[in-house]
Amino acid sequence: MNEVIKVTDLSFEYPDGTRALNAFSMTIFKGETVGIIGPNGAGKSTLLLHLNGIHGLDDQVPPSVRIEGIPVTRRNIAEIRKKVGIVFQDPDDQLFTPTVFDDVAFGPLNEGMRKEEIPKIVRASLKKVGMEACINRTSHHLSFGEKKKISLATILSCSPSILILDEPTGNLDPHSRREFISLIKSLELTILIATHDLELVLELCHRVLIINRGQNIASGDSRTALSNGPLMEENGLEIPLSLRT
Amino acid sequence: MHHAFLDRYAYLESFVHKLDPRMKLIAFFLLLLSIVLHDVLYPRLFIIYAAMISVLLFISRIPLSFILRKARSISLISVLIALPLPFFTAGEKLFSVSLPGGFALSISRPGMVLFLNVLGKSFLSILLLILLFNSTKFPDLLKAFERLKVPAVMVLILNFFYRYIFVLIDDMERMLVAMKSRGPRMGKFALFKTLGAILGNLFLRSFERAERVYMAMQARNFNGKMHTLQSFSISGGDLAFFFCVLLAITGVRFI
Repeated sequence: MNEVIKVTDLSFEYPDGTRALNAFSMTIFKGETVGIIGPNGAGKSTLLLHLNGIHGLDDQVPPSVRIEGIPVTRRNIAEIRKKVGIVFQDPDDQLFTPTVFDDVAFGPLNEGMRKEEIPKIVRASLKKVGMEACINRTSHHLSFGEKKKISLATILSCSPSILILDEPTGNLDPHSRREFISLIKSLELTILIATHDLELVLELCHRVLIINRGQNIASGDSRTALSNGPLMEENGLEIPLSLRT
Repeated sequence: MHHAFLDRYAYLESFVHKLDPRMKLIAFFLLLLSIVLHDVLYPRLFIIYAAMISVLLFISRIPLSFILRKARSISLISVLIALPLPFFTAGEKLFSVSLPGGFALSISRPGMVLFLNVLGKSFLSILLLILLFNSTKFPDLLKAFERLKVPAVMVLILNFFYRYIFVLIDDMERMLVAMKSRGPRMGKFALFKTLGAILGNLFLRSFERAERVYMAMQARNFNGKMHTLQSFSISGGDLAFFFCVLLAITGVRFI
């Protein structure tokens, strides 16, 4: 199997001295859907922000993250960000231009795609998430569920090979959650999901990675890991309802 | 949450709404300059300009009550600014009252002319701006600014303002609800103290949001320059409108 993400001994400290990651290592293979779970403040979001070089671009330190073999460094950053798309937790952070069209076109325009191609790409990306009808709407008129789907479209328009989702089902009503899960299922990408929604992990992820105090505690088959009571409890988690006997 | 949108009537479909935003912006700006640059806005000039703007307002189909309500609240500021003019401008006295202590309050003719002049010009300008903002979708207006080479940073700031003002209002409303539910009968002092805390909190939240938005921008390869696409095209109607405005403001100069 091809390694698409390789993180080796990654440590990170915030300016206020909080140590968010502590010699963290992991490998993700092509085509996998992996769940990253752990308690609040475990370092999940910090880890995700390292995968496309938003954090950790220090020229003095050798790079600890490689995407498809390319080290995440300041020099490679444009290429890395083209490969790795992050859908942030709050869609209001992700949708920052006044209209849906401009937001979905933002990534492709920055990547220097031809202007004639852009409307086609925008339409195709919105179609993938079933939001074609919203193309000319203003973002603040949309519902939370719609914003979430359009956030995904803003990333799909950049055609990434790796999709990273930070808490994708947080604050979604059951119907929107179901729709969003079906959407993720339909994508043929390497997907990383950081979440507290353990049922989602069980349904979507081949593998799960438990992170706590900035370290990789355990990694393995989702069903086996999630049904391991002591492991879950030690790490501020619980066995999902559907696995309890 | 429900808000009155900033550009509530910008989605109507009238001739004024359909004008190319760049042409509209330039034409309105020229009209505005023409109004402001008269030495004295004589009553007949005022009537001519008011008639021109009324025609545009009528075509735009924006409700008159909405426009007048908006104009009233904005005009209040210009009234307050212009109010001292009749009292503090030297010249022939129109009216004078002596006050106890040897003081006198007088209104001068040049002061009164200046006062009415400022009021008339600001009222017409306000009407014109209300018409512009309510007949052009804000995103289109921003793109027109961009194409007309308004500095990119200013356009970006307006862009974020339009996008996040509602998010901020929502944040504030949530905090106010939380405040009311915990302190239904607060004394004045406690109320001001809490409102201060809410404003501080709002500032911190906006600051943190700005950081997250910037991360989301970086994640999509933002490198400091905002790229947008627009599909503006200038039609015969746009040109005709532009030349009508040009003709009208030139004509007014000869009256």
